[in-house]
Amino acid sequence: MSAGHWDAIVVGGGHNGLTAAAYLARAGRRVLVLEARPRVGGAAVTEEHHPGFRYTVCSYVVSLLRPWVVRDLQLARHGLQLIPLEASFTPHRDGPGLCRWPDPHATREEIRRFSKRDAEVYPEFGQAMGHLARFAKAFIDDQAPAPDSLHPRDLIQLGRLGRRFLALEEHLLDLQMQITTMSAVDFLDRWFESDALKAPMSCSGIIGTMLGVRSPGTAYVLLHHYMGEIDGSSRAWAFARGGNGAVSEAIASSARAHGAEIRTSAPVERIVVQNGRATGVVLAGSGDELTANVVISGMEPRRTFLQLVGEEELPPGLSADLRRYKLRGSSGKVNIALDAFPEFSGRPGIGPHVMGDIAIAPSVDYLSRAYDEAKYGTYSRRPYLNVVFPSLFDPSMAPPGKHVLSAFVQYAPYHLADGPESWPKHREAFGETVLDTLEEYSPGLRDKVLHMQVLSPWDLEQEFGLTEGNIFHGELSLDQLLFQRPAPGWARFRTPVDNLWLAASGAHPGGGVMAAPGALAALSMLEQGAV
Amino acid sequence: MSWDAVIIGASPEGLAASVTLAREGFKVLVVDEAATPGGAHAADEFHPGFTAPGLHHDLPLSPHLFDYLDLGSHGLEAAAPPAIRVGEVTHAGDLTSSEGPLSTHGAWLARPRKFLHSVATSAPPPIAAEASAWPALAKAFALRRLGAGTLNTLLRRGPLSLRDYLEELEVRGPAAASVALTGLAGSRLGPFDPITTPGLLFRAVTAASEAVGGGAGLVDSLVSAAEAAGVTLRTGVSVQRVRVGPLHADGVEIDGAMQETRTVFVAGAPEPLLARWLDPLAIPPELEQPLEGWRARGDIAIVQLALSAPLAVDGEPVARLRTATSLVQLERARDAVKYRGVSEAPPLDARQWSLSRPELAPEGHHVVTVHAHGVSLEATRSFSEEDRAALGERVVALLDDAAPGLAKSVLAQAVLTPADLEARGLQGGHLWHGEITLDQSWVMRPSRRLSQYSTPIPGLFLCSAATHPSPFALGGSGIEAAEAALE
Ligand SMILES: Cc1cc2nc3c(=O)[nH]c(=O)nc-3n(C[C@H](O)[C@H](O)[C@H](O)COP(=O)(O)OP(=O)(O)OC[C@H]3O[C@@H](n4cnc5c(N)ncnc54)[C@H](O)[C@@H]3O)c2cc1C
Repeated sequence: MSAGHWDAIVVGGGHNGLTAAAYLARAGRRVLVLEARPRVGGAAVTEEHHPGFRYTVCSYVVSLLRPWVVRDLQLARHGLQLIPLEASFTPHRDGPGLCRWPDPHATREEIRRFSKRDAEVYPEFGQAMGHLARFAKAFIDDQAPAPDSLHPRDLIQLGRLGRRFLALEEHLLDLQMQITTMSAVDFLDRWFESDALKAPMSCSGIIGTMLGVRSPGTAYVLLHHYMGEIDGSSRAWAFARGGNGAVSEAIASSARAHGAEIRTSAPVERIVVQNGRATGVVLAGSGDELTANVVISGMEPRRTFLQLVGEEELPPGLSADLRRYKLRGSSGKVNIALDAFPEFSGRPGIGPHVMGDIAIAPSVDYLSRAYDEAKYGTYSRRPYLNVVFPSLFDPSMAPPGKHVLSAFVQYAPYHLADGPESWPKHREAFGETVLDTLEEYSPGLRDKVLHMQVLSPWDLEQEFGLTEGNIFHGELSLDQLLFQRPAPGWARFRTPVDNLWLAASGAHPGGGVMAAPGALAALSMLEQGAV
Repeated sequence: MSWDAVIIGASPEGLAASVTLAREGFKVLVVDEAATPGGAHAADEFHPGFTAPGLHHDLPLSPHLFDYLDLGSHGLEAAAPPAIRVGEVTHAGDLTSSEGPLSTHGAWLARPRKFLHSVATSAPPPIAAEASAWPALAKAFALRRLGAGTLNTLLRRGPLSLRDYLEELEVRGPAAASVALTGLAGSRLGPFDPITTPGLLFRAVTAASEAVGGGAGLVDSLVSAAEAAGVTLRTGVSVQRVRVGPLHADGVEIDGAMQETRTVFVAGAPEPLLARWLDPLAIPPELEQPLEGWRARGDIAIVQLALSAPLAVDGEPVARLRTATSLVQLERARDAVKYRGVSEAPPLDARQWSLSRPELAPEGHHVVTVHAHGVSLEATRSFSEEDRAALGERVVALLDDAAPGLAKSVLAQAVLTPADLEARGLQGGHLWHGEITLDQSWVMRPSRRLSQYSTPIPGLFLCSAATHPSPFALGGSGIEAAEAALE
C-alpha cells in the first residue's frame, strides 16, 4: 500500500539527517524525515529520566558544529544558544590538579607548577596547531578528494590540496606530516615534558576510538581541539543551552520552517530497491510503503546497506568492505542526578574550574593502562572520564540547588571477552566503576546520587541504533577517512544503489555533532540535480 | 692529511658510500671506533671458537650493491632466507611467497610488489616547496598505474593494524604471529596498533633474498671492494670532533689529529653529532630539532648461544625458530615495553647461523643468536649482572620449550641488552638507530629535510640506518648519500 510520495525521504532523524532535510527543504524540495525513536536527535538528544533532571543523554558538548551550517539554517533564530566552556580541568587526587583557561596567562601559571619549560612552549604549540587546523578545515568543509579518479575536477582538487600543503611554512609542513602519522603521546613528547599536561591533552586523540594514546594515528585528532569556532571565538568547546538535544531541535525547527515533515516513532524496516534504484521505504509495524525520488540514509552505513537495503543489491566488493568496516565501540556514558554539587577535593568549591570539561586523566600511563584492559576485552577498571555539569551552564537542566553530571566513559569495549550480549550483566558493575573513579577525586559524591543512567556500548546500539556502540558511526582511523569513508570509491555520499545517498557520520567528514556530512550530502545532491 | 671524504662509521652504509665515492676518484677515509668494521653487522666471537655474524637477523640487500657496486665480484652472495619454524608451522622466509600459510598475503602483494619494492629500496622523494615535484609525482603516477582497484586496496590496507590486515587475509595462528613479529621489528608497537601493516609490507617485498653469511658476509665483501677502490680504513680510533669551517664541514679530529676534508659522512648513530662532535654553537636548529625529537629506544635483547648440538625441533635442525604463536602474546610483550619494563615471556626469534656456515663454530658445534622482543632500553639501563644473567636464563628456558633439549646443549651464552647495545654505539640500543614507525620512515627518516641525506651544514651528510632505505635495503643509504654528495 502506498502512503504518499516525496522528493526525498530521510531515514533517521539524527542531527545529520535533519540537516540534510533542512537544506533540501530550503531548496524547495518536499522532504520527509522518518525517525525510529519518539524524539529526534539520535546521539544529540536531551531527555528527562528522573523528574526534574534533564540529561544530555549521549553527546554533551559542541565542538565542530560547522559555523556555515549554523548560518545557512539560521539555527540561532531557531533557538540554538552556545555557551563556551570556561576551562579544562584535570583534577588530581593529591593536589589542585591542572586547569587550562581561555586566558593564556592563567594557563601558563598553572602549567608552570609542573614544568617551566612546558609553560613557555604551550602558547607556541597552540599557535602551530591553529595553523594546522586551518589547513585541515579544507578537508572537512569540502567533499573528499578522490585519488583514484582521473576526472579533471578531481585532479584539480588534489593538485590544489598538494599546493596548499607545500605552501605551509617549513616547520608546519613537518608538523603536518607528523600529526597524521604519530600517536598523540609521541607527538606531544616532542613538545612537552610534563605528564600532568600531556595526559589530558592526549585524551582528545582517543575519544570514541578503540585505540590507545600511544597508538599511531591518534595525534591528528588533537587538531579538532584547535578547530573550534564557537560563536566566532576560537574557543574549542561549548555547551548548548538545553543540552545537545537543543542542537537537533533547532535544526528540526529550521527544517520544518522550510516545509519538511518529520515523523517520530517511525522506524523504517526496509529501503525499497527496484532494478538497482531506491524507490522508497517500508515502515516497520504498519508495513506502509512510502515512495520518493531519492532516499537518504541518516544512519550508519553498515546498518543502511546490510540491514535495510540487503546485500543482493550491492556490488560484492562493497559488502565485503562494509563487513570489515570498523565500528568497535569503545565508550559508554553515565548520566547522574545529584542532590548537591560534588566538589573536587584537590580544588574545592564551585568555581570557574568546574565551568568546563573535567578530565579524569592523571597520567599518560593511566590512560594507556585503561586501553590495555579494553584491548583484551574488559572495561577499564579505572577509566578515562570526561565530565561536565550541564546544570552549571543551564540551571533549567536540574531543580534549584541540584545538579546533573554527564560522564563520558572510556574504555568500555563493545566486544567484551564474553561477548557484547553480556553487557547487560556487567552494566551495573560498570556504573559502579565509574562512581568509584569519581569518588577518588570527589569524595562523598556517591552519597549525593539520586539517579543514574548507565549506557554501555551495547545500550547505545540497542537504544540509538549506533552499531557496535560506535559513537561516530565508524572508527575515525586513516583507512576509514576521506576518500575511504565508508568505503573506497563511495566517499561522496552517492552509493552504488541509484537514488540512495548517505548523509550521516559514516560519510565524509565523519562523526561528531558537526552537521557537515548532512549538509555536504544535501549540497552535492542539489548540485548534481539528483533531487 | 687531506681527504675528499671522511666517513664516520664502517657500517655497511659507510662502506657502501666509501666505495661509491672512491670509484669516482675521491680520496676517502673510513673510521670506526670499534676494533672491527661492520657496526651492528660486525662478526662477533662471543665465545672462543664461536662467532656470531652480526647482530641482525634480516639482511635485505640494496639491489644497487650488485648492479652498481658490483659486489658480486667481491664475494657477495644473495640467497633466499631460510624457512621459519613457528609452533607447528613452517613458512617460507620469503614473505611474498604465494604458497604455504602466507599464500593469501603473498598472492595479493604480487600486484603492488614492484611498486612497493621500488619505494622500499630507493631514495625518498624530496618534499619541499622549492624542490622538484617530479620524484614525488613519479611515485604517485607509478601508484596510479597499479589501477584503481589495487590503488584503493593498498591505500585501505596500508594503515591497518597487523591484526586487522592478517585477519582480512585469513592468515591466523602461529604464521600470523610470525609475520607480525617481522612487521613490528624496530617499533614499540603491538599488532593491535594501527598503521603497523606498512612495516610488514616494506619488509615482505624486500625479504625475497638476503646476504649469505649474515651481516659479516656483507661487510667482508664491502671491505674488499673498498680496499680495491683505494679507500683508507681505520678502526679502533676515537672521533673527537667534526669541525665546521666558514663554508662547510671541513675537518674531523681523530685520535687527536685533525683530518682535513671536503665532506663528512655520519654512517653510524647520529646522536654523537649533537652530543659530542659538533660545536654546540655550530648546530643549526634544523639539525638539532629533528635529531632531538628522534625516537630510538631499543626493545630487543640479544642472546648469543654456543651449542654442543644443533637447535632442533622434532629431531630436525632449524635455521630459524620463533616462539610466539599468537598475536596476543606479541601484544602483551609490547605492553611491558610501553611501561618501560621487561616482558615476562618475550617472543623469541632465533637464527642458527652455523647450519649454512659451519666455520662459525667448532666442528659439530653450533651458533645461535636469539632476539628477545619485549625488553625495554629503560629497564635494562639499571640492570645488574644478576638481572642480565636471569634474562639469559629465561630466554634459554623459553627457547627450550619450543625446542626441547636446547638448554642441555648450551655451552656458553652472551647477553646483550639494549643498554649493552647502546654502550656498543647503537643509538638507544636500537638495532636500526631509530624506531621504525610510519612517522620515522621513508620521507620522514630521520626527518623530512634530512631524508635527502644532506644536512643544513654544507658538506655534512647522514647515511646510517636512521635514513631510508637502509632498514629495508642494506647499503642503499650509503650509495644514495654518496650520490647526493657527488651532485
Ligand atoms: C555517548 C556519546 C557521547 C558523545 N559525545 C559527543 C560530544 O560531546 N561532542 C560531539 O561533537 N560528538 C559527540 N558524540 C558523537 C555524536 O553525538 C555523533 O557522532 C552524532 O550525534 C551522530 O549524528 P548522526 O546524525 O550522524 O547520527 P545519529 O545521531 O546516530 O542519528 C541516527 C538516527 O537514525 C535513527 N535510526 C536508526 N535506524 C533507524 C531506522 N531503521 N528507522 C528510522 N530511524 C532510524 C536513530 O534512532 C538515530 O536517531 C557522542 C556520541 C555518543 C554516543
